[in-house]
Amino acid sequence: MGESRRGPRAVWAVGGGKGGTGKTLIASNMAICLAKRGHKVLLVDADVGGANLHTCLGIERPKYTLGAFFQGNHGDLTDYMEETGVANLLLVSGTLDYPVRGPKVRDMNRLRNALRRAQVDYVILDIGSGSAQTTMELFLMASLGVYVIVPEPTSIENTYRFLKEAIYWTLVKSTRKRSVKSALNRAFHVGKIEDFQPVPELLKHLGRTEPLVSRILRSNLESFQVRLVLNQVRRYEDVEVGFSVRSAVHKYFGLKVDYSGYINFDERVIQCVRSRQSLLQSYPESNAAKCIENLTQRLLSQGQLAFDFF
Amino acid sequence: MIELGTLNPYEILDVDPRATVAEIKRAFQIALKTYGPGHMATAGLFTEEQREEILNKVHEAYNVLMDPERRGHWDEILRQKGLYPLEAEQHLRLAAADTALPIPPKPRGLERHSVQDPKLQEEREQRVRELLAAAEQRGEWTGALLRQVREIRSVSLEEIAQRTKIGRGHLRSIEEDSYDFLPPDVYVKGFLSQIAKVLGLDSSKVASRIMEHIRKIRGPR
Repeated sequence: MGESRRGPRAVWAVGGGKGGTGKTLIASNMAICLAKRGHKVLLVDADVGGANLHTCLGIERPKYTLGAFFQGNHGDLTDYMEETGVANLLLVSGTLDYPVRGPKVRDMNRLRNALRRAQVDYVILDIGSGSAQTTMELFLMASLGVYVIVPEPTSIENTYRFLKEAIYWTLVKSTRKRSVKSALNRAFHVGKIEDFQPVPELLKHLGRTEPLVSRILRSNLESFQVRLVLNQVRRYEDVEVGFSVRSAVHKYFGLKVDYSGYINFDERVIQCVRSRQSLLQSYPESNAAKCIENLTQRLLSQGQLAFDFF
Repeated sequence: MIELGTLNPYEILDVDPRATVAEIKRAFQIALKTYGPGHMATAGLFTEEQREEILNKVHEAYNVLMDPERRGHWDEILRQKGLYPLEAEQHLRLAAADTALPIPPKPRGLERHSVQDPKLQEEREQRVRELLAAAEQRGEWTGALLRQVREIRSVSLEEIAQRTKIGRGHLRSIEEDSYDFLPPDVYVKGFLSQIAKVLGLDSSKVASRIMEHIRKIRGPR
């Protein structure tokens, strides 16, 4: 792939509302999968406060980190990338040495611009859990947001909270009008959960007083693409949970998201984490590895898991 | 909650307008669970009344989509509004669905032999894959192959006739590889592609392979 291209074909963010759902595992192995297919891939550990992508790739002490990028004045990420032992795969490690308060707006803008200019085919961003503003900004920096859930009520509860915030920030960032911003804030952050006004109706109401703004918001929301991924599937029925969540998101928020795939629970995943190796390299034939390959394929081809998935 | 009246039956069941009857049945089963009491995906999100309202719509949508005439009526409305997906996208979707997925482990201590039994399902899919691989290897793509796949997936001839609007006589002729009374090639190819689609096979590939076979036997028409 030539150096002449301006930037990556796509930036994928991998997020999930809860810790321990497998974001890092999925981000690192999807990156390896893309690299094995011959794409040049940059993996960025943007999990502020919980960075450990380097460990998953068997790197004990990263040479450079995202924290150093934030503290420096360079507009280019190239100086902070290191080789990983996997051909075509570069890593920018996490923020070991970064102040705990988290990155500022200026840092985020610099990162966004640097990612846009990165001379690779794909960028994969591993973002932290929770739905704080920084996490949201990182998630929305991507052209595709991969959201990892596990079939447990707590994870699903966090999913809805996360999506609500993600929609909110997408809308708020699309406008400069104070009145619209505060209207959005009222609509998203007050009232009982069952009284939440779904997005299409919200935009319709807004359109009566602010037709132009409403149209911009709508088009920005249409480019907001979320792909659900279900991890730690132990039983056949678990796979269905992804369809249920997709349906509930549509009926509740009025937002269509894709269900891109699931990953089977696999003891070997735990072994990999302990031995600081990646699944796709250590156990390429394992069930979970195959699931990640299928998932990556579906993300590339914009496909969804079919109802006749068996 | 979204205004349910604004959704078409496909949106209510979260299926693609090109979904097969089997897919719609699956989607219906999953929707009944999803909006039934105490499901983790909906428990904290909807009130009981809202869930009931959705369930009513789910039943209504299912009945509409199971009736070929009423489904056809909706398809027409969607086409007029430009909301029916284009053929070009269909190939993309089928190609994406073609990559075989590993099966999640079977629940332990549960012996079930219903349609949903994953082990049975996997065995079926395995047989379909073997059939297709054998046909490819021998270069023998016949109408009988379609019958075998149909029986493995337990789809009735009636269901195919309803979904494709192809006459039962023609369907039988194709499945029995008796091509003499079939219409000219262009029609037959269309039939093959539609049947393959309902059966969840790669329609363009299957149709052109079987068509080659028919032409070899009866000569081009």
